[in-house]
Amino acid sequence: MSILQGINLAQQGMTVSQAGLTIVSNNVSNMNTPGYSKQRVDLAQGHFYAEGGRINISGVEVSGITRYRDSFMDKYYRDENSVLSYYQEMLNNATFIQDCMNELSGTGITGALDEYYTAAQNLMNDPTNSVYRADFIQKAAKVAQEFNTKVDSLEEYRKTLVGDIDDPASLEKSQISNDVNTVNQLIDQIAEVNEQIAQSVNMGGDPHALYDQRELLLDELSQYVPVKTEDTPSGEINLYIGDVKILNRHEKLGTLEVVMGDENNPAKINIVNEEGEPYKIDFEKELGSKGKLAATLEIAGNDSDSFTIKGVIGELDSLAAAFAQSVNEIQQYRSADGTEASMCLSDDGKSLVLADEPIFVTSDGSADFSAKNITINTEVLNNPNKIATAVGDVDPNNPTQPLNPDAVGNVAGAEKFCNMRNEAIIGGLTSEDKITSIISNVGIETQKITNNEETQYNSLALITTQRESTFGVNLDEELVDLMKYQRSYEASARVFNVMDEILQIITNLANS
Amino acid sequence: MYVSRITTNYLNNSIISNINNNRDILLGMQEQFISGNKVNKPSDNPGAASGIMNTNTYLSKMETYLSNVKGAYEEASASDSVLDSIITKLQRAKDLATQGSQELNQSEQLQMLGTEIEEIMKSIAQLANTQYNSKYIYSGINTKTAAYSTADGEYIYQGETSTAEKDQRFIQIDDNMNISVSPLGKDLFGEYYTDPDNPDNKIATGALGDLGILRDAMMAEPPDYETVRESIDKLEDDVQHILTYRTELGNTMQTLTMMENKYEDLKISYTNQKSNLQDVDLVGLSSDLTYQQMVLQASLSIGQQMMQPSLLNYM
Repeated sequence: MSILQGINLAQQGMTVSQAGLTIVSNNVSNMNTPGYSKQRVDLAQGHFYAEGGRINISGVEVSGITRYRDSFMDKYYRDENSVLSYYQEMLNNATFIQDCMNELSGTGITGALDEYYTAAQNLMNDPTNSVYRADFIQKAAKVAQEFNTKVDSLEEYRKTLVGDIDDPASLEKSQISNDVNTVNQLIDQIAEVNEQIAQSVNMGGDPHALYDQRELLLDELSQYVPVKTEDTPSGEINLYIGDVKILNRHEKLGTLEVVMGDENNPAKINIVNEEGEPYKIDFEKELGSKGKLAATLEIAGNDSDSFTIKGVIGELDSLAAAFAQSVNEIQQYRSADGTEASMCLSDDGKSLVLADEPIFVTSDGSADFSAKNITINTEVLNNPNKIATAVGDVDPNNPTQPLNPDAVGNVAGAEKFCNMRNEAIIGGLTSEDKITSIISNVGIETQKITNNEETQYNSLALITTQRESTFGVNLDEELVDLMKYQRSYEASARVFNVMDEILQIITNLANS
Repeated sequence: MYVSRITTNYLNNSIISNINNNRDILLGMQEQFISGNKVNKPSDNPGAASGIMNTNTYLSKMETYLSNVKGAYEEASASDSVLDSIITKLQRAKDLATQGSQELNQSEQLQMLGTEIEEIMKSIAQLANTQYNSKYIYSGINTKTAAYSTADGEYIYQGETSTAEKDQRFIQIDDNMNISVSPLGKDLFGEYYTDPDNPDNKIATGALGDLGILRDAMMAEPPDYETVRESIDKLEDDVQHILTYRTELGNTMQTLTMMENKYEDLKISYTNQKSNLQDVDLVGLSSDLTYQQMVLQASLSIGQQMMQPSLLNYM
């Protein structure tokens, strides 16, 4: 071994240590960078051979830089992340519905029904009292208004999620359109990074930063849709959403597009190819229960098995219809043989006449009542004498007149209004039982989603930990490495020093 | 031995997420404290939520029935005092009849007694026309019609006459229980008027009928002593008839008082039930809150200690 070779070796040691220090400082400075994977210098010893008592050593060399990453863990994480995003979005929406339907303090429909039945009792106690009559009809109007308000705010919310088919402009401003735009942008960015990676790999590079960037984009994409990837030799990936291939390396096969659907599912998602031709129709079915998009579409859709805004509105509709019909039946009662009829007060309030005006009408002229169209009949609202507080015999000689027009104290009609409180008017439930059941169902669904979200959150936290422990930066580790490379640098420098001294001695020998 | 790498970011994240968890629990407790409710939204406890709403309905029904019961009681006691006055009047009429039944009396004296009977009839009709809450209480469901017209010394009942159940005026005092405190004036006090089909004949029923016959007998020339004597017993029967009804009314009032007590009790028990479902146990919650605050402080201080040391401190 020659002295000069020794100096060479010392220099190699210093170079390698410097590389180590560079990677350490890169790790430390990126320790808080999202998506950054810790890197490590891989060292290898040089060749060694002995030849007639002389040894030849080529020292140490940097064989590569390893990126700490576990691709299985990444896929696992993204899968679970999609599920968590799904539940988070469901929870957000369920929380809104629940806030809207929270009537525990006796407000809203519950409160309005309560006031209405109390007013009916007063009416029965004193049917000729004009204050009680006006109060009764106003409380009935309030019930209708509460139904309208509830459904309005639920529909308005649904509109912000997926738009409304009656208002085409709302689709563009909706949350689903926004999210689909984000998904398309992410796909574009992944395609772009793919291309850069291919170029770099082609030139023999190992583009760690680009790989990290792509992982980060995939993580973000997995919040919206379920993501699958496939590695290719060029370092690029093929990207699948659900089972639909969307990127073939850096070539984009399709773009997500939101189109207007029907009343039940106002927004639909198709994939169109670069020419704008359909590539995959009804893509939303591929999403399953993963990702934010699936959750938005589900809660705004009409799947009878899941918790949807439409489902809650439907329940309110059936209650409003049953309520309005029952009240109107009492108000417009006629016995089958025509001998008995519901009666209200004449305009001067002094005698009975046959009642004909309904209490509730539909605001859109439709024959069927819903929570949206139930409204009070202004004829009765403006003239509360028209409330049918009585049920009495019809004059056999004149079927349009009561037999006893003086019986203004007859309360058989008012009694029916009161007794309706205890009657099963919808699916074996009273009106108040029904609204209670609707509200507690919302509570049960929200609780179920909250529990699912919590479980999924915890399980994802565990996966995040495992994943983080693979690619994260540990400061102690880096500091140990820092010391290690610093010491080895010092040692190599020391070796260099010794070699230098030996060289000087030899040089001096030659001089003397 | 498996050594997992605990990375610095992981350590920081887990400290933050634990502190957040603790704050979240603390926030929930504070919300309970401020609202005083342990169930603030249906999903907190769907079972309790529907219980609370059902109890709200029961409570409101109780309140209505309670006020109905009180109203019915007041009307019944108004009716009771009217009946009391009428009985006094009838007894006075009986005394007058006894006085006039002696044939020693001059016809002028009987004329005077007859005039007083006429006055008694008028005041009975007036009492029968009593209004409670601007309703004629003895007119059945014809609440805006006075029970009697009193013109020309004839007392004609004008209220509802049907005794069929659907023609009664009811007050609802329970889900399936109605009570009537307003009898028909005709059944209680009778009528006295000229038969429209036969002007020589008088229609006379009940107390007013007997009084009318008595009055006419006294005013007759000469006075009809026989009829005056007969009316003493008849008036006694009339008093008994009204007294019988008054006893019924007394029973009804007793029932109403009983119902009132029942509703007051039920109100307390439902309020208790609601409170059990909804109200926070302040003592328990205070101790939980103190504990949770301690946990949060501990997690903060441990977190701070865990984040501090690294090799950096020793280099």
